[in-house]
Amino acid sequence: MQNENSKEYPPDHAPGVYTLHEPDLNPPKETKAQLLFEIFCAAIFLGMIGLVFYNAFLRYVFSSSYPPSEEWARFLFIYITFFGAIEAFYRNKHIAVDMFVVLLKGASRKYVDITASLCSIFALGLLLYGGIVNVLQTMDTYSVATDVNMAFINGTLPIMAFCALIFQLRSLAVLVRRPADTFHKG
Amino acid sequence: MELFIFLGTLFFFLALGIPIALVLVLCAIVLMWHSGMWDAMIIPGSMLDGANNYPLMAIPFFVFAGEIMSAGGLSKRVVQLAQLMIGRVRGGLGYAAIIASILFAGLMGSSVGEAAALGGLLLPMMKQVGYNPGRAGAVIASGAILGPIIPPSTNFILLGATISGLSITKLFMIGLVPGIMIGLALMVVWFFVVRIDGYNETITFTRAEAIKILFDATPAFMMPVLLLGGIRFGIFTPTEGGAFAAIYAIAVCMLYYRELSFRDLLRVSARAAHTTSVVMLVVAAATAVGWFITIAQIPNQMTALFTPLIDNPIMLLLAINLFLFLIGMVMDLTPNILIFAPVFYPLIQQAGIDPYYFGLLFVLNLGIGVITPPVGTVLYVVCGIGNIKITQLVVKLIPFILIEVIMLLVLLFFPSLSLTPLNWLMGGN
Repeated sequence: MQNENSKEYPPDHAPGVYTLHEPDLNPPKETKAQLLFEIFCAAIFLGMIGLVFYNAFLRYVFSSSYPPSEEWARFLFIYITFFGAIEAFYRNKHIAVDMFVVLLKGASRKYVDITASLCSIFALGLLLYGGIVNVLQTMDTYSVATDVNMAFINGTLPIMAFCALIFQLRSLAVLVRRPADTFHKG
Repeated sequence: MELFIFLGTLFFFLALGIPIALVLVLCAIVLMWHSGMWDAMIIPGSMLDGANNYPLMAIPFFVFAGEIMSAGGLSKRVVQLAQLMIGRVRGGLGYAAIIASILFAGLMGSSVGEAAALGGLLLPMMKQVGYNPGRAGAVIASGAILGPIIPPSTNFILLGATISGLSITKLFMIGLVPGIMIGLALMVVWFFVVRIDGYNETITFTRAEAIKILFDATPAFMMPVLLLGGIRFGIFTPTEGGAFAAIYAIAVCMLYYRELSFRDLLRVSARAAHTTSVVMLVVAAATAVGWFITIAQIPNQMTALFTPLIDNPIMLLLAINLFLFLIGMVMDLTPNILIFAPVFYPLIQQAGIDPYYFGLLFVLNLGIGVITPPVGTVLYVVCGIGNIKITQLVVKLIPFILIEVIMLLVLLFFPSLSLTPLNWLMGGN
């Protein structure tokens, strides 16, 4: 039987900060995309754990090692970092300090939110552009132990930046269209 | 000059409510522009380097293990064990909450995760026996700061990965005894609170129940023992220890307790991935800004600013800790570690202060920040779970925060309280 109490989680975001562990109190019905994301995450986590544990086991029991395992594990770690970040951008769950903006309302809040959105777009734009340049420059580079083309690894950052940029542009359009008198404190 | 540009841009962009990872990217852009080294590839390259870090893989492993333990019934057993240990004393549920916090800190390395798991289990029980909701939330919240101190702490992993040359194993070990001391200090406060608030409840178990609880809790209790033993005696590294913890948690919850289904495992993976990516994006961005902090010689400027205090380590530590306490009130623990550890560590080295002792004070101080208003992640988590008003919680938290600040100062003034146990635990190394 499941422990029901452990499933009572805090609200998805509280005033002042976006928290790290913040599953929704009433999560929306699970979609196929969510299920695929869960399978992707489970595969990566179990892969990372298996690779790291396997290497430790080989070293401790047989005094040998399998060099590609550490490199594969690190590559999976990069995948979960940047692809997981896309999901967090989509759900607007990255950590941010909003203790000052929640004090504003009306036009001042709208302009501050638009400024923040434009700054985010600028940062993401630079990550996208710089990330693409980085991928192009490492197209002919292969990893030492696994012989993987580094473009497959370095490409994760510009892909994340691209997706986040789309989400940010979409939210900017919503912010611009929204009447200033609908921006309230908190 | 660069120091003030960095701090000015940091606080300006933070005040706009931009995600901290992007704030750090913007700080890196400003420092890059200021230093005249404009190259769009530097920041993404540094971010990829920051994420491509083997020691940091311990973070997702411990996060994953903690999530599995919460979902798979291990947390319930830990709470029952704590109740069995001390429940018969007057105000037993409060003591049990603190003992459970100590035990839980040995299972998961995060204060927010600990508060969410323990709050979900204990707050309803505490309210049921008549505890003031604010007081019940306060005891859970104050215990949650043990998560970043008692090993395996994800915050010590971050610190060890951020400052080259620091051993994560030694950071883990230095937190063990002070963490238990803080737990005991919280119990002393609870002793007086029970008498002031007039709580009388006790919890007793029959012999059969006690045996069952002990039997059920043994795998939970064994995990930190095996984990710390394995890391201390060099059987595995902290990263491999994280993988061990995850496998152990899956095996115990799926095969022994049989409370974790495959579907739960998928959900837990997605939750752990979410937490990992949020933390790791900040880590990656902090690596990029750290590169420019070094190039702009910001640590040297910080050293110059504190030069009058360098000959007096205690005054220096008091000044740094005052700054950290204030910054901890408005910003979360993880970004604070990533941003300020590279800034303060060169100063600490120059003043001849032990880096592990400073690491303990650094994480403990910023850890207290998660329960201080106006921005305290654990405060909001406990309020959310317990349906408690923030003011009600903060008022009842004051004695606990005070004792934690006193413990911070005691550890600051008496370094041997943390360094001597570290020497014992590391066998004199």
